[in-house]
Amino acid sequence: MTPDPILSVRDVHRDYRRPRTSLRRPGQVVHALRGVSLDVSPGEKFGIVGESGSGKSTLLRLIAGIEAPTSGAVEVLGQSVVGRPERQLGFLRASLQLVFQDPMSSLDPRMRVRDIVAEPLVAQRSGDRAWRAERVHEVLTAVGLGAEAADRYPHQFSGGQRQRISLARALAPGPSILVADEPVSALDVSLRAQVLNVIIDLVETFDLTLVFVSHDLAVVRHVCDRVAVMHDGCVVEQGPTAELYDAPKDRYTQGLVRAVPTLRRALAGATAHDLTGRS
Amino acid sequence: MSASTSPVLAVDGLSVQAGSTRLVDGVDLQIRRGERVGLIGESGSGKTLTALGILGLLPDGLHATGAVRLAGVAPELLGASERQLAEVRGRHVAMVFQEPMTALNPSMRVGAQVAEAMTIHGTGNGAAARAAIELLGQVRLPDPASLARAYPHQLSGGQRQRVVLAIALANDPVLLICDEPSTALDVTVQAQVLDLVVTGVEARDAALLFITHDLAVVATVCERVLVLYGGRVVEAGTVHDVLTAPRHPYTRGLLAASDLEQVDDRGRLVTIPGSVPSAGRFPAGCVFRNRCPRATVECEQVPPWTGPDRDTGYACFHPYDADAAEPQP
Repeated sequence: MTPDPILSVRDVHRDYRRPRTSLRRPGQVVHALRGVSLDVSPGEKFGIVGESGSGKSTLLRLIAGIEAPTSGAVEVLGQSVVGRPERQLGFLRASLQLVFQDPMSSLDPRMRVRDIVAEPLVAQRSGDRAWRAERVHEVLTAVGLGAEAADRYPHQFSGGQRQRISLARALAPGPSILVADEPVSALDVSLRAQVLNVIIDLVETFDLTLVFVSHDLAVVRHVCDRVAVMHDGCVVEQGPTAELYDAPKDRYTQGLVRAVPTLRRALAGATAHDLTGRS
Repeated sequence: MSASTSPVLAVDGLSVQAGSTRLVDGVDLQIRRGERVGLIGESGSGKTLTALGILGLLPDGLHATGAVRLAGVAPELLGASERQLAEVRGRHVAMVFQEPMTALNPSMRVGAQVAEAMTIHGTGNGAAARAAIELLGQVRLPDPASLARAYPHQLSGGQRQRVVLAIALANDPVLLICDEPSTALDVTVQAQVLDLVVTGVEARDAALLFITHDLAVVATVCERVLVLYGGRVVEAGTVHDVLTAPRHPYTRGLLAASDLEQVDDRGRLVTIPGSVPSAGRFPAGCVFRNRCPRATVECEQVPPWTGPDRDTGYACFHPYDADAAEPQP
């Protein structure tokens, strides 16, 4: 039997209403999520793959308690996230932290790195000033930035280093779940490898559960044990990563796996036409 | 292959400078008819500046030196007048940029934008409008006649990029330059756009210069490749040779870092230490030596080009052996 899930999503729906375009009719309803269910076990590295518009960002917002589902249940660490006021979400803020795609827009350019990393601690009123300084030093070292980074501003760092700052900030409150939304999509190849290594190091060192969202199947395959493929607001297929990639069952997943160009297949003679799956 | 024919595009020693800072340094490049050549490198390596330099589209404050010749057209593109360049751009050379939304005019119907590319170069209005619909069909947009009346914001990202491609192909250019045309797109849409680029170029027997940071994409689309780092071509050759038996340590590092199936004994990806320096901060001599595992004192000198011609070879004092155990992709 698998252990109790640390994160559980049950039959979640989320509808949005488009802005109205007529005085006589309300705006159209968009079904962003249509009955999504998934469980993530403690210590698992869980991937969510999907193209733009598949609903993966909406799902993340529900998991992080930023938005409420139209119907369905979201539980983190056995506690419901749905329908609680922000005051009662303290447990969620301490145990689940997010890292976003673009580090430049998620880091305040006017704050020094030490203040950026300490901000979640300040917000949660954890420890005193000296303890927080100690903690900042600790997490900056863990992500591979020197202590001298603390005095600098985000713009003084390269893209890969900025993403390390985001990771340090996420780690500061000592979360048990790290949610990474396309964390390496904006990075060049050599930086991507560095940041992926840091993420995997952190997950091991701090015993984290990872929820990793990406459109890049190769990256998810490298990072995750289990993966869910989203399409059109639904999870069309989920399972162990290797299995899903080597023998996708769903038609959509098959097309997705085929469309990814790989060096190995290209050198074996695959053309752009082969990726499209059209004959 | 038509190796004996003269190249469609011949770039000799193209350099781009901002004041005293060299951003692109002596790029040599030749593309023949029907040939698809990739230009790869990370951000800040000078890929886009090379393309803009060829087209004379460099922003103010940057200037290019060297020679750029386009077969059968202008004897020399660098230093040609804006008027001459306007004749060439969009007609003999066309470019597809990464972000289709900024390449299209938001207040003009897409059909009119495709037609405009032709009327500017002398096609009559009626003929251009008919040809525009045909072109939109060629890039496999559904119901091209009614789609031609849509505005860019009504289309998806992939559809917009197809419109941009239709504009680029409108005058049957001899050279198509694509700068990361599929980077902003989803994988399934990327596959379709790449297929359309290759089909469009093949149908016209045009030359293709394809800029990307994605090694798998370049291997899928191109036959030859140039690896750019710090504004210099550090290695060039056929896709197969360069990507299976790289000689330059940078190419080798790039390949290893992008291979997500190759890990060390701790299960970690292979990385290139450090990051790409910002413009003007590259070391003197070999531009890669501050990140290179093989660098020695010798590398403080600029390494000469080693190879039979400018299309094949590398610039390194300590290359890896061609037949040594290579990083299998």
